[in-house]
Amino acid sequence: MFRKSSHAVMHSGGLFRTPRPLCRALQEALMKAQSVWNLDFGGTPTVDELTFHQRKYPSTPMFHVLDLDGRVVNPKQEPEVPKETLIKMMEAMLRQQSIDLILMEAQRQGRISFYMTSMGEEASAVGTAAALDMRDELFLQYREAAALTYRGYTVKDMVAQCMGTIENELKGRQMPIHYGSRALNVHMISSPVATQIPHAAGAGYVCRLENERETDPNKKRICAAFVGEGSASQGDFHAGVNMAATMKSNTLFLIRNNGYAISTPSSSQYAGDGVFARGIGYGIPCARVDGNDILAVFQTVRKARELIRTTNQPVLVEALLYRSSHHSSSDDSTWYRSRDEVEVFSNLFLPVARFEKYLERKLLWTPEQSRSLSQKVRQETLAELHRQEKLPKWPVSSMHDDVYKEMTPEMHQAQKELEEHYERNKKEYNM
Amino acid sequence: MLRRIGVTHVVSPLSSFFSSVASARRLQMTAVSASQAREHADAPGAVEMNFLQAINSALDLALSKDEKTVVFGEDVAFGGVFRCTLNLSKKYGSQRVFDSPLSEQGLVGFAIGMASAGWKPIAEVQFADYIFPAFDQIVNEAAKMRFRSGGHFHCGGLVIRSPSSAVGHGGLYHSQSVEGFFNHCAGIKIVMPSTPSDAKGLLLQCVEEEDPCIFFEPKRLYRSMVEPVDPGYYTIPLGKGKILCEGRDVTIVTYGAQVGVAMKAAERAAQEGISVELIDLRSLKPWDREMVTQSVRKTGRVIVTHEAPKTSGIGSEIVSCITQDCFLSLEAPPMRVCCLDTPHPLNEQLYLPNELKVYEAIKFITGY
Repeated sequence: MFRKSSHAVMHSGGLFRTPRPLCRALQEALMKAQSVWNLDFGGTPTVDELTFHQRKYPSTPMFHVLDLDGRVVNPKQEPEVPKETLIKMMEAMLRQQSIDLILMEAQRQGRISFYMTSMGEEASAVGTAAALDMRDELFLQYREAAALTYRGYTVKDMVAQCMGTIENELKGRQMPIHYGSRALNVHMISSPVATQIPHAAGAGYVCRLENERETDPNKKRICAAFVGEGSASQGDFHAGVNMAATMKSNTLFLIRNNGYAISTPSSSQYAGDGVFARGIGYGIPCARVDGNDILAVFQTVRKARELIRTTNQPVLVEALLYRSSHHSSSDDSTWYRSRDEVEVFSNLFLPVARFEKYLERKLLWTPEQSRSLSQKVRQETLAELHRQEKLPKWPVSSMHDDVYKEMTPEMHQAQKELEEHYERNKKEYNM
Repeated sequence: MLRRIGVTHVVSPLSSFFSSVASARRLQMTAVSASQAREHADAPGAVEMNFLQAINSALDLALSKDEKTVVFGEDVAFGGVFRCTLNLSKKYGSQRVFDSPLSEQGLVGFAIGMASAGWKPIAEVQFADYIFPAFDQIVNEAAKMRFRSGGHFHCGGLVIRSPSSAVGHGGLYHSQSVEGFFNHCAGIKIVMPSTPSDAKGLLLQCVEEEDPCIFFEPKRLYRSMVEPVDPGYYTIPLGKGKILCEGRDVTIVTYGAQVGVAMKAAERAAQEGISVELIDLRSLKPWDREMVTQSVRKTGRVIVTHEAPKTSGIGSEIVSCITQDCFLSLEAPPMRVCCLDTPHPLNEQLYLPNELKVYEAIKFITGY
């Protein structure tokens, strides 16, 4: 499909020449042998003029539906989305935005230890979540909380995790924003980057095998891995995508290319045509989409899901967007990029505002609804902060739980010693 | 770089020596209680199997027992470079017994993903020396998945099996014993058997475990170690060691291919009137601390021996626990007989903790 998309350089004539008759035997021999290399030359296995191939510029354009004012550019490409889904998408983005504002401020006040916002990237997470089925398994990186919010993860859940309170069913063991939910089919986030990519390939292989046995099309599911463009430099990215390709995993790889890996600009991250071009190298279908255009993301992911299920191969989608916020509460991005750049790009793209204008034009939404919902969620988040600050953390008795399914004899002994130590010195531990 | 050896037959100048270990083991078994030694070697209908055949039998039974069990890795489909997966692809199909691309971090990460979706992947890392590209996936992901999620997610179905330890001519990258690196990692279990019967029962137990397990197979035993093995399904619990011979004067604690070496040294010492109690740990994490403690309290002396290098090897952990548990019983300092603290050289005769070194340690500690 992409065989002839490469740009030839250092070649003045046509890309391929008709092989001379005297080479027919060679052509026939190579056509017989091509399966050994898992290749299909389409009848022309050789050229008699040396060509080096490079695929860089012009870069592959991104698919979009809405312009900056929320107008549909090509009506034929406007996806059919149920009204309730459109509203749910809008609400999820606004909720996440509001939660981010409050919790980032809470970190500044020392009420939680760490935070990362999704500012400017809400559309890619929510658009993807909306296009997937609730039973599809999500493997997140860390800047996709909006996808969880779309699936029903609550303010209470988020605050409990960020504070590590007794109400956090994950037992308060991970840094803030490392969410997960068995009930919502969202796998637990972990800090080592890219490790979730081969996981999504393996789980996607399970989906493929189970989908092949499943007779009800509505019960078929896929896995989706969310990946930043910096993470795509990890060896696990290569391993995961390549293995998903050879094993025909039912997996979507959604790349959030926001231009930066902390302070590292994409010019120091890669030299090819983004992450998109790599997927082509692995032989899988790839698309590039305007990550600030939620309808474009939605449509692309919906089509990707269909393609995955009907052709049994993974799909890679690269969403281009901009990281409006600092990398995290531990980062001050003015050290490596100007305030002007941030202001210009943040105000240019505004994924939430763009979609809001679209909905307003369709009479499905009003600015008052945005203000009202944002205020309500901010208050809800603040109230949860106040309430959960009074809650205890998980008890000392839980410290050795879940290392294994069952505690080993030595762990029982260690736990007993720890509890005895704690009882002897309770006053000195401010718990 | 010569990364993979196409081993169709493990040839070792010491193979006759280790064949005699198998027969010596049979003789020695009569010295201990029947229920202890004859667990599965004398079951009705027992079949002569070498180590690799016992592994193959375990994998066959695991695949037939549960449709969600798969076996994969590099070169697994045709039977594997040590033939442990022979005929399994034909019998169970290419969706359940398959090759992976050549990437250890990929195949282990893939297996973790399958296990997190409720399946039981048995992933093969072709040589233990090449498990390190997957170290991050094992240590940061597999081992911590249940804990970090408060028990809501896990990859308990994961089994990683890998050929391990010296083979006579493996040099730096086909000889390593790497269990010590993983011993320091809470959340995984580690097994290294020394006999075909134990290998089969322990591997099937690993498959049944709901925690990620790493199963190391001492590759010089693949063809040289033969004994009757129960062809049916059976498991051996993790965390339980095995007393191979009872003794009064000194306890030797070991595991894997080193068991055979220690046994030869013990026999040599016996000819001089020294009575050795020999313990095969089999399961390294969790390990049978109670069995070792009871033994050392009886004998008053202990030698821990393993093929991995000495510094920070598993022996260090065992010795410090023994010192704490048996302090009042110790009549001599605990000793460790291990590989040198160098990379594994091609010529390993003086590198390995051989029979002579173990024998000298027995003499030293009993004469302390």
